[in-house]
Amino acid sequence: MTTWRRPSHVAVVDQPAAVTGDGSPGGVVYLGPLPDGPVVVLQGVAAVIYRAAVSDTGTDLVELVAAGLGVEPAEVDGEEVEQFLTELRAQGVLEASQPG
Amino acid sequence: MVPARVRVAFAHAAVQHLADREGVDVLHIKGIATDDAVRRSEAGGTDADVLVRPVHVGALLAALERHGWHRENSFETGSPFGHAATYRHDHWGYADVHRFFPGLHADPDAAFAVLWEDRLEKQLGGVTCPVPSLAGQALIQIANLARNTGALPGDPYLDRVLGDGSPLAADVRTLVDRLDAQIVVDAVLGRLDRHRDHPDYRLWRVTTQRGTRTEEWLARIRAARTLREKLRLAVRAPLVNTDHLRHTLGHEPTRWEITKEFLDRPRRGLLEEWHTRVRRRRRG
Repeated sequence: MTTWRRPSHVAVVDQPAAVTGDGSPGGVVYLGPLPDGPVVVLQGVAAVIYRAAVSDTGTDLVELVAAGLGVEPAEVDGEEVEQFLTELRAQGVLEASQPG
Repeated sequence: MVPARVRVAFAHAAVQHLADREGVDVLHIKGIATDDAVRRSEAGGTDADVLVRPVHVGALLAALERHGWHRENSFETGSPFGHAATYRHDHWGYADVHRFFPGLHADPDAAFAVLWEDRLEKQLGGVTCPVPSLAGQALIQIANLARNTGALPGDPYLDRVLGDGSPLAADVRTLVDRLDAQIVVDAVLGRLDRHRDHPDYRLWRVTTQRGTRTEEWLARIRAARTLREKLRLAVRAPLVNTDHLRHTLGHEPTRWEITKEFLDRPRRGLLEEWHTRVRRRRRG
C-alpha cells in the first residue's frame, strides 16, 4: 500500500472546519507549489482525504478518512480515495513516500 | 478565492523557498511572522515583509524577478527612507523586501548580523522561515510604530515590551543599544527632542509629525550619510515617481504623461505646503 507525503516544495495552510466557520465538514487545505504556483484549494471531503494521506500516524487511510467525515469505514470507497490521491500526485502536490 | 492571510503565508514561503535555493539570508518580519507574545494587534497585514542581508539583496531580487514577481515600487521610490521595494506575484500577492529597517541605525550589514545571530524559526505556509528573536521582533514593531503612527507614549504595547515589569524589557534594551536604535524608541515615547543633534532627527520629526513632501525630501537629504548620497537625492527629488504613476494610471506611463506629472507636481507640492501650514496654524 502506498504511503504519501507533502513534497517539501509545496507550501500549505490548513484551515479546519472550525477556522473556516462555514460549518462545512473538513474545512479547507490550501496548497502552494513553490516557487511558481498556482494555489490548489481542497475543500470538504478533498481536504479530509489529503489530511489523512499526509498524517503519518500509521493508521489505515480509510479509517482516517471515515473519522474525518464522521462516517463508518465501510461507507468509504478506498479505491476512489486512492484514485483521488493519484490525481493529486499528478498535480505535484503529493508524493509517494514508499513505492506503491 | 484565497483569503489574504493564506496568500501572505504563501508569499513568505515563496520568498524563503527562493532564498534557500540562492543561499540568501532572509529574516521574516512583521505581521504573521511576529510571535503572539510580542504582537501589538491582531491584524496580520496584507503583504509578506522580509529583511535581507544587504549583500544578498541583488541575488534575491534577481531570483524573484525570474519567478513571476513584478516590481511595484523600487527602493528609491517606495518611502522617504528608501528602505524597501515592493513586489507582486499573481498567485502569492505582495512582498516587501527590506534592505534595512528604518530606526535600527547601526550600519545595515551590522544590524542584520546582530538580528541574524539571535534568530528563531517559524513555520509560515508550512515552510521553515528564520525570524528575529522576540526582542528583535518587539523592536521592529516599535520602529514600525514610530514610522506609521508617531509618538504614542501611553500605548499599553510599549509597557508590555519596555516597561519595568516586562520579562522582555532587558533584552529589548540591550538590543536597542547594540543597534543604536534609541532615537526610534524615544520617537514613540514622545521624547524625540532628546536627539536634536542626530543626523536622522529631522527625518523622524517629519515622519512622526506628518510633514509636507518638501520637508520630507529636505530631511531625507539631511539624513543621507555621504555627500554623494545627498547629491543623488537632491538631483532625484523633483523627479516624477514613475512607479507610483504606473499604479495610478494602470499602465506604463508615456513620455507625455510623465511630462504632465512633472509640470503638475510643483503646483501640488505648493498646495500641500499651504494646507499643512493652515492645519498647523489652526492647531497652534
